[in-house]
Amino acid sequence: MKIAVLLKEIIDLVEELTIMDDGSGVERDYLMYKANEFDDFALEEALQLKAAGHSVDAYAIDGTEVDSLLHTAFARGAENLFKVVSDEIDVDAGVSSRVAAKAFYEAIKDKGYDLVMTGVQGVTDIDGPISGHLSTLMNRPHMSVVVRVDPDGDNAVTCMKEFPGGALGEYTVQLPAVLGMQSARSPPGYLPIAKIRKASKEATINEVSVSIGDLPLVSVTSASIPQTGKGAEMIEGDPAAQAAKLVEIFKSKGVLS
Amino acid sequence: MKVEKERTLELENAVVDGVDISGRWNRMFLERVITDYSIDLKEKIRSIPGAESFGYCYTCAQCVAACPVDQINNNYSPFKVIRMVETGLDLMQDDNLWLCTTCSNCLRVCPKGVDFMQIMPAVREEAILEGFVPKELELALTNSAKYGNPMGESPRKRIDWTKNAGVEVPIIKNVGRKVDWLWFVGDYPAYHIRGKDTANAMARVFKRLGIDYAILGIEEQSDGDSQRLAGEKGLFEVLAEKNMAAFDKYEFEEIVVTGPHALNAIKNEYPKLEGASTYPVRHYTQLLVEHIDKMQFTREVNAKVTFHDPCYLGRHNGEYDAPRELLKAIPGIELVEMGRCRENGYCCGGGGGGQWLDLTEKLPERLSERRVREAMETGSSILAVTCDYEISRFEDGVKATGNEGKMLVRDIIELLDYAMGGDSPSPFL
Repeated sequence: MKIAVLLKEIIDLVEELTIMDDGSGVERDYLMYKANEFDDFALEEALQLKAAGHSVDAYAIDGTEVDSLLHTAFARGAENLFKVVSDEIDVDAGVSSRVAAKAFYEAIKDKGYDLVMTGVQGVTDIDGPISGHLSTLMNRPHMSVVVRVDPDGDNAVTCMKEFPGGALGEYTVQLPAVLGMQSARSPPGYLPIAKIRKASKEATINEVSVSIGDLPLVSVTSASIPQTGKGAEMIEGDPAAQAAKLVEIFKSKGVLS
Repeated sequence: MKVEKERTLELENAVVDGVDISGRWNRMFLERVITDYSIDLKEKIRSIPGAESFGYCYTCAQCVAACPVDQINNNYSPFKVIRMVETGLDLMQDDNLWLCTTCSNCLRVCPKGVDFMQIMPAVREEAILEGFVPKELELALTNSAKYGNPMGESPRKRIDWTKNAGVEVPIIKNVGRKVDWLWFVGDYPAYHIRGKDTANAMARVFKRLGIDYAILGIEEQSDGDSQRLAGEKGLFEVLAEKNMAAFDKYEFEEIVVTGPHALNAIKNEYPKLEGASTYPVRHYTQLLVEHIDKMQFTREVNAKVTFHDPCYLGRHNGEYDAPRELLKAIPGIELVEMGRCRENGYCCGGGGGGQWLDLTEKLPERLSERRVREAMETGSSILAVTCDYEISRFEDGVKATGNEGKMLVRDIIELLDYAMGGDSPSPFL
């Protein structure tokens, strides 16, 4: 089975977000970026499959720290690395899910991958997650919120999908397919810096130039920091008085009659 | 561990080269218990570059009494670890690997030079490469790699503490000239809520004494020494390279550091890296001790004070006197020594990655808690420290041992600042 894992960098919320003076979006000059955690899980589950003899390539759209992202994927076990570049993408302004999906589609469409795995979501998704858009472009089966993948013969995989409340469903997905990964059978382990440094010297990053054309995109009309509300009401008094007050509030809200 | 009485062999009649050695003259010990085990596990450790001296031990057990961890968990000490490995323990996959704080008290008494300060980081490095790393340590290492500090704080907020110093704190990038001292602030003084008090105190004391200094600001990274001792050598190299690149951008006479771990890193470890320069560096107590005659004290600190020697200032770098001279210079202070002090000082448990580990199954009491109990025995009301890890460790230790309200933990720089009229927290209960 030939697997492609799609990676993207997202804004690292370690730095506080500030809004640009014109209100058109987030000030990006001081932002840090990091790997999308859900993509990390996609890579981890793909590498579990690699251990059973399947091949894993990693793709990432050009960005601020994308070489490091790909070197890390290599250090973890990805075989071939591809950086997706396009004159039509302004990476400094942020890459929307729809643009990312189209760019990834153009990069992988002729490569014959059986399985495409990426994170089910990311904090920078505005108009839906990448895997859904991508499956539409590729006209392939799609499943999201997947937590485990196992081969099922040569032409299918068994996917474990997570539902609210912790319920799990098991599905057979015909290949080729696109999966949005929520988790992996085990979390990615610590990657020593020495291995990343070694990868940065040994790994080759292949650039793939793509054209994305015209896409229906969401544009930001204004951005602002949420206003702070008036805060919680602290109920004072002994337990009996607090309970009585709670009952009174529940009754006033129609929860109790 | 399998224990058997030693068996002996005596030949009733034996003549060798014409000499009669019958009976007790030819007594020989039979094979000892050690030969029941494979030497593979010990050889595996011994073959790791840096860990060769693991094989030098001749089991004299001097280190047992010196090891601070053994005082808490008497299944641990260098001698006991070596014996456990000899009798079947795979150290790479065992919690015992992470207990050593690299305090160096064992090496001080070891007649064979079994150097756990080299052995443990080397073995830990192999363990990390093989994927065995405690979760809480993993977080500190990941944060250090990503943000340049083990707490995972914003790199931009590294200079936030300067807003509360009450004096201007010059950042070298903005100074635009050579300064006498480049002050390497450190992670805990920059980010920890009480560490910031020491950074603020330092800035005020430097100002009062007219010391010409500047800080690196957001260009400073974690010194990396504890990450190295915890086995992440690659991470140490990255952090060291970034710090040295920042040092090389600016002109200064000498570096002064808040913490002994930064002192050890910059003085002893950075120069070992390929292509690295040597940077003259001093701990702040070593700088300030030369300025005692200029210090104008306006307040007395009438209190009994005991001082905890940081392992990386004392045993590792030989400085025991400068902190004591500064304490004695403060009017009112009565300095009382703990039983274990100076060369035999007891470790706080924060070194070698211990600051980020919480192996409570192996350590039912933290070393810092035990040290607080020792400090209480002196009758002091202040435990004076001068390592950037120690304020947090010992203040927690005071609370955990039920001594809140009976003892305060103060960095020496806070006491100096207070006595000179600065805004450091009161040294009185």
